[in-house]
Amino acid sequence: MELEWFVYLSLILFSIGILGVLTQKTAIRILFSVELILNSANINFVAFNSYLQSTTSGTVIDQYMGWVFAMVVIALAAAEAAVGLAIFISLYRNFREIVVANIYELAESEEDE
Amino acid sequence: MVEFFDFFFVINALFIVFSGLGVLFAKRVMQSALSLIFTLVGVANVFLLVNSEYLWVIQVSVYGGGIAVLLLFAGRLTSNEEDHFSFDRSDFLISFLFVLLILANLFVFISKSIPSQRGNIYTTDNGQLLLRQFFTNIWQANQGLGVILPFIALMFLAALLASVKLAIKEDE
Amino acid sequence: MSDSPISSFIQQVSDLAVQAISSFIPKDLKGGLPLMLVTIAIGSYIMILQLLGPFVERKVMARQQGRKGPYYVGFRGILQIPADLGKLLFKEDTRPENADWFGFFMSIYLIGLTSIMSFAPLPFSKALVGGNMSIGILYVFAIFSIFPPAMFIGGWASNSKYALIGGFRSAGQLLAYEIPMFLSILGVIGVVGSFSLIDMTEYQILNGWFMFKYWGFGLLAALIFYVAGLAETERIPFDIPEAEAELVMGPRTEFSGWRYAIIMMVEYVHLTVNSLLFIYVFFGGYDFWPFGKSNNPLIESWRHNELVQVATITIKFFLFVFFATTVRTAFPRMRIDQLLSFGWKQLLPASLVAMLGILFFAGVFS
Repeated sequence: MELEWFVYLSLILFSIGILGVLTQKTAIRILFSVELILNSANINFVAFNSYLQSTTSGTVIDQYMGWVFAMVVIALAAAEAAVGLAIFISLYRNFREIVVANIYELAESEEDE
Repeated sequence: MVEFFDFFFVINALFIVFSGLGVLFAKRVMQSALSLIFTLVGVANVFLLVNSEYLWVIQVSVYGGGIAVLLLFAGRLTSNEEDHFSFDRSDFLISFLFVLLILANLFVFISKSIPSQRGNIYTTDNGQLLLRQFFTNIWQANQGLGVILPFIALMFLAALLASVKLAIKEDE
Repeated sequence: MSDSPISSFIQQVSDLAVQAISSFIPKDLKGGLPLMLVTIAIGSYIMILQLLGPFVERKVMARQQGRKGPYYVGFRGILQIPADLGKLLFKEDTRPENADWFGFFMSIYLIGLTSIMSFAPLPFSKALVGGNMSIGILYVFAIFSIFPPAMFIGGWASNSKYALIGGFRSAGQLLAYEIPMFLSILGVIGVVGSFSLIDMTEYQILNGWFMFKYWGFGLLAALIFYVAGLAETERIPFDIPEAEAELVMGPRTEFSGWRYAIIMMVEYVHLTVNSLLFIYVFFGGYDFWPFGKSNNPLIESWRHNELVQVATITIKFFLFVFFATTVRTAFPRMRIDQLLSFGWKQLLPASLVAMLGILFFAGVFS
C-alpha cells in the first residue's frame, strides 16, 4: 500500500459525492452524497496521518492528529444528520415533498394559513 | 509480489466505489441507504488497513448504527412512492462533465505533487494509545487532544436543541 | 501448585485433554491456520450453546407454567430445536409480491452475518480466544449496532404495514437502549484500563467480581446493563417490536422458510452474546470465585485451569438463560412510550451515576 492509492480512492469517492450533490433531486439523497464527501475527507486524514507517522518522529499528539480530525468529522456528521432529519421532516410537513427544486418559497405554504 | 493487504485494499476500494455509485443510481431511497451503509463499512475497513482499530469502531457504530438509522427514518418519513431516481439528460450530462473536470484537475495535481514524497504507509499499533492520550489529558490541564472534547460536546448540544425545536409540531 | 489429590487429578485430566486436542493439530502449520482452527472450535461451541439455549428456555418455562415442555424428539426432547430447524429449512421460501428484493435479501444477510461476526473476541479460557484485539468489547458493540438499520430495512422492504411499524419500533428501541448499555460499562473500562475481555476477567480474578464491589454502584451498573441487554435482545418485557397481539410478528412478519430460521437463530445468538458479555464484564468471566485472591491453594490452582474455566463459563451461561426465562415468564409487556421514556429518562441518568460512582470508589479521580 502506498500513499497514492489512498489519495486516489478518496478522490474517486469525492467525485462521486460531488456528482450526487449536483444530480440528485430530493434533499435526503443530497445528504447521502454529502456523507460520501465527508468520508472521502476522512480517508485522506487517516492515510496522511499514517504516512507522517512513518516518516517523522513528533510527539504523540502530532502523530495522532489525523485520527482526531477524523473523529471530529464523524461527530460533525452525526450532528448534521440529526439536524437534517429535523429539517426534512418539517419541510415535508409544509410542502408534502422534499424535492429541492420545488421548494423556493420563504414563507410557509398557503394551505396552512 | 502482491501482498495480502494490497489485494485487500484493491478489493475494498472496488467495493467502496461500486456501492458509492449505488448510492447515486439506486432506484428507491431504501436501496440507496443500504448502499450508503455498505460504503461506510468499506471506509471503516480502510481505517482498519492503517491499523486504526479505534476509528473502525467509531465509524461502524456511529455511522453504520446511528447515522444510518437517522437517515433511514428521514428517508421513510419523507419519501413518496413515486420518488424514484430518473435521469434528466441535459442536467446529468452537464454535471457529469463538470465532475470529470474536477476529477482530472485533482488527478493531475495529486500525481504531480505526491511522487516527490512517495512512501509506503506504515502503521504503528493500536488505537488504545490514542484513547489513553485522550482521556489522560482531560484530567490534566486543558491541552493536547482533550481540548477538542468540549467543542464536540457543545456542537452536539446545539444540534440536539436545534433538531428538537425544528421537529416538534407546535399546537396553535 | 497444591498437593491435594483432587487438584492433581483435575490437573492430569486437563493435561490429557490438552494433549489429545493438540495431537489433532499438525505441528508445522503456518500463518493463520492454527488461529483459524481455534476460531472454528469456538464458533461451533457457541453455536451449540445457542442451540441448547432455546431448549433450556422451553423446558424451564414449561415447568414454571406447570407443563412438561418438549418431550418426544430425542432424550426428553433435547433434539426438538434441531428438528424445528430442519422443518423450517425445507419449507417453501416465499416473498411478498411488491417487496423490494434488494432490501429483502440484504437485510437477512446483514443480520445473520453480523450476529456471527460478534463471536470473535469472546474468550472461553485464557488461551481459547478467537482474537484478543485491542478494542475487545467495543468490537461487539460496533458489530451489534449494524442490527437496527438492517432490521428496519427488513421491515421496510417487506412492504407490509405491520412489518414497517415493527421496524420503526425496533430501531427506536435498539437506539434508545444501546447508549445506557455502553455507559454502564464505561466505569469498568476506566478501572481496568483496557477494552479486552481477557484483561477484564484477569482483573476480576485478582480483585473480585465487579458486581459485588464499589458499595453497590457495581450492582447498579450491572442491573442497568442487564435490563438494557434484555431490551437489546427484544425479549418479553421489551418485545414491543413483535408484540404479537398488535403486530403479527413485527419486522419479521413476511419472512418464511430459511429466512425465518436465520432470524430465530439471530434472536438466540443475541441472547447468548449478551449473557456472555454480562458474565465477562460484571460476573467474573471464566472465574468461579467472586472474592478476589484466595488463600486456599486448591481454589487458586483450579481457577487457572483451562478446562475448569470452560466449564465455569458454560454453567454461568445456562444460569443466565434460566434468569432470562424467569424474567420472560414473570413480567408483562411494556408499552412503547413507557419503554422509550424508561430508556431515555431513567436508565441513561442512572447509568451516568453508576459510572461516576464506580470511578469515584475505584480512586480514579484521586
